[in-house]
Amino acid sequence: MKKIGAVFLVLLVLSSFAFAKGTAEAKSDKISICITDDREAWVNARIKEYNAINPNVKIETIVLSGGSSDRQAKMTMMMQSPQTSPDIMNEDGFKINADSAAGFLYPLDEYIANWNEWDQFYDNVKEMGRAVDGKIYGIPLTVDVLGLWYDKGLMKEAGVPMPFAPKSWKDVLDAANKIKALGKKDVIPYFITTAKTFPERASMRLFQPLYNGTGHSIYNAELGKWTINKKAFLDVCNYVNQICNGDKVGPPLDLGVQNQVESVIQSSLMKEGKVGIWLSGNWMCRNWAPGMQYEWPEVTEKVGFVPIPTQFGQDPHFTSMSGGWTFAIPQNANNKDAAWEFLKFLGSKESYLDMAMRTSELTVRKDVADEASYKDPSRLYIREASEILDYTEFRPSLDVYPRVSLLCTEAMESIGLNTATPEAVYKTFITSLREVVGAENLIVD
Amino acid sequence: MSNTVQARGFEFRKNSNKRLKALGFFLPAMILLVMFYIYPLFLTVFFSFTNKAMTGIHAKENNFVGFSNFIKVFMDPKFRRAIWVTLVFLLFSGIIGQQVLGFFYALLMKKKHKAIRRFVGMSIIAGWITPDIICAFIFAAFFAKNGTLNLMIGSLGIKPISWLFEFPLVSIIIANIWKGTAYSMLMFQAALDGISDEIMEASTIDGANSLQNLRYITIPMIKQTFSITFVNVTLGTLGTFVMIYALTGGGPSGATTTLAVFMYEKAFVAYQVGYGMAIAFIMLAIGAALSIMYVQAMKGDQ
Repeated sequence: MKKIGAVFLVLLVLSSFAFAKGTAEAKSDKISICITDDREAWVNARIKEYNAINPNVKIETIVLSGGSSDRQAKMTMMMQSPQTSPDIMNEDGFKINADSAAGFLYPLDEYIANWNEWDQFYDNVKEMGRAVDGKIYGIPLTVDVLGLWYDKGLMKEAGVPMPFAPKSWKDVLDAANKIKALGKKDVIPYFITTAKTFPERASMRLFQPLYNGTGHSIYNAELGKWTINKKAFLDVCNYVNQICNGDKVGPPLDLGVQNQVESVIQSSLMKEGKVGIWLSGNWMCRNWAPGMQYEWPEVTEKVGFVPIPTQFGQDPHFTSMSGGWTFAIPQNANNKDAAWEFLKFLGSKESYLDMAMRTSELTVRKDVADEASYKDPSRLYIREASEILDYTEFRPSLDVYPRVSLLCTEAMESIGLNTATPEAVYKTFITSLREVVGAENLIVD
Repeated sequence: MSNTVQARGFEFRKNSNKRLKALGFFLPAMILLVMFYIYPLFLTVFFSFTNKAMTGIHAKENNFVGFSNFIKVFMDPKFRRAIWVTLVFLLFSGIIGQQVLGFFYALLMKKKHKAIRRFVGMSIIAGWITPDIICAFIFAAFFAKNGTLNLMIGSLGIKPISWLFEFPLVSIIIANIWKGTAYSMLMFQAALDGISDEIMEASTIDGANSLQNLRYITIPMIKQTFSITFVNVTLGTLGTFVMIYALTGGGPSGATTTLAVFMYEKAFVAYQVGYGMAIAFIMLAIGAALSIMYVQAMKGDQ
């Protein structure tokens, strides 16, 4: 009996290898697409349409939810093996370079050469999908911008001239202080994110737009070097310090570190008039749209969205950081040709228009932007967000970027929690940055 | 003469047949052991000496970098802080919390009515059988600003406290004690039940009081159990990740970043797998060193 058991166990172990290989080979007429949960409904609608034309292609969706860094790690790991890799990956634009350098992505240049709709994509957005080797690895899907959401009622009550049009960092801080002076309990005058709970957030949605607003940029693409100006860095730290610890107009720290803080702001705080100004992304309004999770019919009467001013209002007057998503085909995809065929369908004008209408996101296609329905004033804040596109900058798409970004976040967290002085934060930041990017790739002035 | 040689040859063949058979039975277990324990361990050690990354050029081509990951780790003030946080977490939640509390629960429940033993035991075991992530949710609700704990202290007129923000380390220590005490309790219960009543009676007749019984009879007799639970609790506490990460994410500002969380951050957020593996290797070394220390300490006393 024991003998049979042992033999069975050995067979079980060996057969698991055979089975793993077998499943990889049997995928010829089906493709899989990995997407983030907020795009599930849109992709499912496309799959239905695509199957009506191509009934033989079976498309499986792999939906990922969760925090940004965990999701990114999952996506990267999935692409490392043909057994787990999807055929289409919803790839965050800033990871194109790292993932292509790692050999996880398949170059799409040959496919694109025969795709006449590629001209319809905005040129600057196309660059999001291009890696430093000059090849295109991602078809742009969305682009986003940052701005200041503000409560019109609170602003009026506080005596801030309307419409709110801040020209400098000081204007924003002054408005926040006026809201604070109203003495309303539970009102957060100026909501900024300094917590490390979501590592990319305090970096991309606080440090980087502010730092760009000083007239500097953390990466100089022409020189291919990271550039840190001490005064600019300290100015950002001092400004954040003033918000959180000096004037105390920032969010209560225990709320700021919460995982679901953005949902809390969207679902209740903004609606209840408890946030004066909120530095965040244009896509925050998507949940207020009709039929969405936190539907808010009166939102445009209550809330405004304006660009973030530069430090003193210097050129180009406003600042923003943009991210965006793409679709890529992993190197380990089992069915690249079929994946590309579906990708063309997914990237068509009708499809992107449908997505823009569903999510209030900015489009990456010119022909979609020209559509009357896209420009319809009833679509939340699309005009305001489109204007910010002129000022926005993209995150450096380098494989070392996630590590640099983590340092920016840690700097903001130390300031927000008041655990270190701006000088000390700068010292730690520079020491760590030198180690991460290498002294030869860093210019400090 | 030739008969003896033949007999020896037969004996040899018989023995080697036996050995072969034994090897056959042994092999599946060995394969599993190598695949799931030795090979990953070897990889951890190997990658800790490389600049392997999860993505980027070093995901494809990683090089041997000698001890540079280890040097960087020890130079990193965040690592030194993580060591400190880990030791505090280990001492208060693992050793003092789970071990001592588990022992006293077991002691108090000895000789108590079956119904009491069952009720108290099941209540404590509930924490142990609850998955880590659910424990994290329970304690997130318990420590929330409008959560159970604040409701309780609110009835005494105390203002609500943001526990996870103002006392993050204390909060995760309490959560981990709740989660893990049952294991120690069960182990000690089994050990205490093994002490024969005659010995205790004899010592009581000799005039020993309860405290002396505990000091000179009970504890020395269950030393072996202490040693085993010390090792298991230490290794378990060192590896605690899910509950801490789900409750505080290692924050605020690194206040609850234990070595396990620090390793995760380096390997999966900053994508430095080699660096993360070096931290994992150090964790392994700490666990092994503490385990050997406990076992030796217990042996020495005997």
